[in-house]
Amino acid sequence: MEILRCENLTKIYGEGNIRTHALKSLSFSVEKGEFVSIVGPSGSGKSTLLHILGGVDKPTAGKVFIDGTEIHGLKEDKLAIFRRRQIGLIYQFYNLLPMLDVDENIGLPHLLDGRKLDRERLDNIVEHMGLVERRRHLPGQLSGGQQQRVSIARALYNRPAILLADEPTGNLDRSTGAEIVSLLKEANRTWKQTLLLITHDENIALQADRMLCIEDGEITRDERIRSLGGDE
Amino acid sequence: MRNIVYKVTWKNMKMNMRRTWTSFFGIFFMVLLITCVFVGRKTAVGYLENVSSQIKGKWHATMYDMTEKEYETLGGESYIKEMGRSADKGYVEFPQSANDQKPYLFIKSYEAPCFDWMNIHVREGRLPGKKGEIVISQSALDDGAKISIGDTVKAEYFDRTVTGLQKGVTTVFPFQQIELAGGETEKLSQDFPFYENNESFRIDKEYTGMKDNLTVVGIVDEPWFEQEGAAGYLAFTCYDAERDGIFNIACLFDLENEHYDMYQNIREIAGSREVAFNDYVLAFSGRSSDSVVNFMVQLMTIFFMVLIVLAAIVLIYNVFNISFEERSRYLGMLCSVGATGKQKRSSVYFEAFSLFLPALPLGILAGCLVVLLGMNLLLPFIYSFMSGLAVLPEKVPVHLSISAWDILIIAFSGGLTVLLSAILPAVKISRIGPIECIRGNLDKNPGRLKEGAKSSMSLSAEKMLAKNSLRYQRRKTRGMRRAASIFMLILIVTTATTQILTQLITIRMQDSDIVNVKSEGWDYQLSVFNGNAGEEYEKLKEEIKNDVGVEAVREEYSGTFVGNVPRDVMGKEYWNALHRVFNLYYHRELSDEEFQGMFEEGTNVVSVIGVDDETFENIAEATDTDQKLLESGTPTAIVVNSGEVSTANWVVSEKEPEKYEFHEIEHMTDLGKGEKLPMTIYSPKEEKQVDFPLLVAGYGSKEQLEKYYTFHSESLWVIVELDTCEKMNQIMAEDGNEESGSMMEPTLYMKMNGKKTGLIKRLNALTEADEMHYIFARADRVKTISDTLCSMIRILLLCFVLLTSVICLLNLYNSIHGWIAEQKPHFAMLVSVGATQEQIRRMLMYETLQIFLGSCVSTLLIVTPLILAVRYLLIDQFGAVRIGFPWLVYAAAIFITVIVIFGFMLYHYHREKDYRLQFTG
Repeated sequence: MEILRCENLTKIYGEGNIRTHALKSLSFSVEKGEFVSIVGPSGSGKSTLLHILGGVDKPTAGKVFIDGTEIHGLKEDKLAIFRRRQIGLIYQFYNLLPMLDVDENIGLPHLLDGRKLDRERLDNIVEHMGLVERRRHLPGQLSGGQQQRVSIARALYNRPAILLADEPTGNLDRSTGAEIVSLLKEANRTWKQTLLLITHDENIALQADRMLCIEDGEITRDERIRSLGGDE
Repeated sequence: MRNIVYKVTWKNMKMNMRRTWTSFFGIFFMVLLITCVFVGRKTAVGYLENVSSQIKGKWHATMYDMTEKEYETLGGESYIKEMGRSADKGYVEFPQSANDQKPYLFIKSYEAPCFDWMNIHVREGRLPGKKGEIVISQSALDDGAKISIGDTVKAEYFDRTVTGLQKGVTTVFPFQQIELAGGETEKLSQDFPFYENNESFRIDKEYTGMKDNLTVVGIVDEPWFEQEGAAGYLAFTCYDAERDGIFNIACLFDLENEHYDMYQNIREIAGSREVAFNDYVLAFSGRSSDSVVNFMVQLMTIFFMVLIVLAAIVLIYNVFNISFEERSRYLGMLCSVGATGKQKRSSVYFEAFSLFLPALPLGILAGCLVVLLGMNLLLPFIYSFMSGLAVLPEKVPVHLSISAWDILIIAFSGGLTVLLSAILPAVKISRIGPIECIRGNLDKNPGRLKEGAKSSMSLSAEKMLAKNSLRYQRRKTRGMRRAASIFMLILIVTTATTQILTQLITIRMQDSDIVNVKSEGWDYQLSVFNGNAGEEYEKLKEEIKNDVGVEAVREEYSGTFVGNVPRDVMGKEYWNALHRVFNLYYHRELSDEEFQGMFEEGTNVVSVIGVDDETFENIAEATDTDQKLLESGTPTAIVVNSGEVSTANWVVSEKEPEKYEFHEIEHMTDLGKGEKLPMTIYSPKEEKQVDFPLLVAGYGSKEQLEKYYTFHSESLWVIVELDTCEKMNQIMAEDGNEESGSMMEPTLYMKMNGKKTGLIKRLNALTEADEMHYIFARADRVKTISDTLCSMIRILLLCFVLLTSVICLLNLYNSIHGWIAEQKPHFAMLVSVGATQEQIRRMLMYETLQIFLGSCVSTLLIVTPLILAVRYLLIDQFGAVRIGFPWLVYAAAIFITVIVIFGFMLYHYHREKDYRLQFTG
């Protein structure tokens, strides 16, 4: 079942002579539960693509459908609501709110939705992420790996339609990075969580079901590594 | 630039132009405002002195009946800048007079500067330049005197004396303050009217033996001190030191330098002789003879200076603090390559003073321009106020008053303010190590473990975010709290103190025994004088009432000293206040017996206002009046229970009070409602006091009556209906003259409906034809000098409040901008997890509300004791005056701050909304 489809995505920065084509009429789709890695050199347009897919940036042209909804056709507030319910974003620098503790950061999208937190789900996810001892800590008191785990927990809490991760291991050492990737893979397998992951690390990219290579704003390779279900 | 720290700082300043400009404008505004305080005060004082000098002249002090030796002594005093002698040469016959009540000239001799100091303005011809030349007042020509330039007056000088003729009877001339026992003789002043001799007194001429042949060389405008009712017109000649004998000395003080014992010294030289000070002019420079007015002027200057410096320090400090994080990064880098704490500090000082240097001359220039512009913008207002005065002053140009000394003071105060503002950020930055600087981990307590703290997840997301954000960013929001607090503080303290000061100045400068009719809502007033309220007036009144252009008419009679009441009618509060005033005159605590002994005999006076039925009903409704008593059929009165007793409206002859003291009285009498006010009225026909008791129907305080009148009186006032007033007038009427001048006389207030009927023209023509009996004027044009001066003071103080607010607004604007800008990454994070714009806005609203409430609490905690202290200080200096607590000012300041703080927050939030792509870092 198709969960994400983008059609002719184009993003142009600047005007006149200093126009930069970050994305050039890019189209692809992702199946539900698929783990897709996106690789490419710096400046190839990976992060721009992820921001557009996540609805935090707008394309110059083209459409993005998530679970059948054309997200950039939504009004600003509707898009924000869609984002907090259907999209989980994970960043290289965690993007946690420094004034909120671990629990509050994890529950934030849910709270923004005006709903009460499901304590059981929160406890489960905190335990799953190994953050039980750190629940009342602020991000400034956590290590990089712990912060990234909070960030993943936050993205997963609402069980979004799609998880978008922008170099989640880029700021971490190798072993912590591996730990984070295994957590993401586990989420993908356990909860059939669709995952799009940007990375520079070939080893991580090869752990995905499918790998997209982007260069100069275009998909240069779309390679299936293993079938949906895990067979190579 | 050799110093690498300065070089890096300079480059960093160039890279952060927005912050650099903000700091520059902060310092620039501070210099501008300090300039406004110094130059503005001096310019405004100079201007107001000039305007005030139009009222009584430029002289500062006049000493009467002095000798040559005293003239020399005074000339040697350091506080005397210039002196001029004058003498009263006496009366001469003036056969050219056309007014049989003014058959003389009263000739005064002046040294040259005195003409200018006393506002003697030539209308025609010139001023006298040598002996034997005179100028005559225009009032003589207005009355039809047959004299012109070139004519001569044969002058045989004489004094006028009055002698009491009836043994055992005291003849009183209340307006000249003469009490004459039978057989006593007193010399008369230039103001004494022309009275025919009668069985009570005789007026004689005593020739001095001096004769002159005087040539008229000019006509001068009617001098401000010429009395309409005096027996002689004023004329002026040159002072003749050889012939004029005892003389008066007018002088100007050296106001540039401080002379602490100036007034005491002058009084010592004068001894028992009279000394007058021109407080209208002196008050504005804080050098009046009245220590209370001086105190208030000096207090205002210090007060505004402190507030401006305080606001400037907070502004500059906040600017440095907002940029603290960014600055600490490059300083941390410098530190990591070996920069010392001193070098880091010097970076902050370098930035502060490199901005101060250009800001100083520009700020002074701009300050001077603001002062000039402000004063010129104020001129129309000042003239509209001044036009209410009886004598319309000449237009006085505004001259900027600035000296090298002022520039030095401004530079020093500005430099000191910049230094004080920069010290704390400099010290703080020097204490932060390189690692903290580079990491941006600047807060000593960056994120406290939230153990024990209640989780905020039970709150809505916006409230939870606001609560945690404020807790986390306590240091960062401190600048905003400070800015909001100082803004509220300045608004409350300046407005409240302005209110208190103007209230005190109004009281202090108010003429005593004055009841002003509030003219709001009325367009014109027609006053009738000199016993003309007869049949002709009644016809005129009917004509006005029936005119289709007139919407409403209010008729009112008023009279001072109409009746008398026994002393015990006055209340306990009145006597207590008077006792304290007398203590000041006697420089000791008078015992009750001693004080009461001074008032064993005699009566207290009652003044009366008579109003038409409709106004009386309205006043009765507005006051604490018993309707049943009003319908009792006997003459009733509403007693004005507010009064004032001070060292200004009570004078003890030949005694100087220790200091000025004012007592506001709430209960002039302790008589109850329904009791009789045992008033007597003097009947000229019966030549005795006639009983005219009034039933006290109610009491009115000055607050209850403020819609109709402002009362500043130490005597008892009653408000009665017109028919009661008419009965009183019948008693006061002289035999054979039913409309004598001593009776209460009417004023008609008119409200027009805009229809043109020619009534105004007719009334204007009537006034021109018969100005002895009618005055017709716009109702709002009748103002007192104190009204005018207080309005000007209020405008100037308002300008100060506005200017100080500018610096506070800039501060608040900057702080809120800094606060919002620092939150941008958080907004981006929130957007990435699905927060809507509305949710972020709401979160900011909650945060702003909490910051505002915090500021309110700290402001109230600082301001309230400050206001109470100022009130206490002023009341202690001034006396028992009721000063209300400025609740309304508090409410207004809080309201304005709410609008400003939320307005700025929403403005900055909408300007900074473009944060979508900034969240990756």
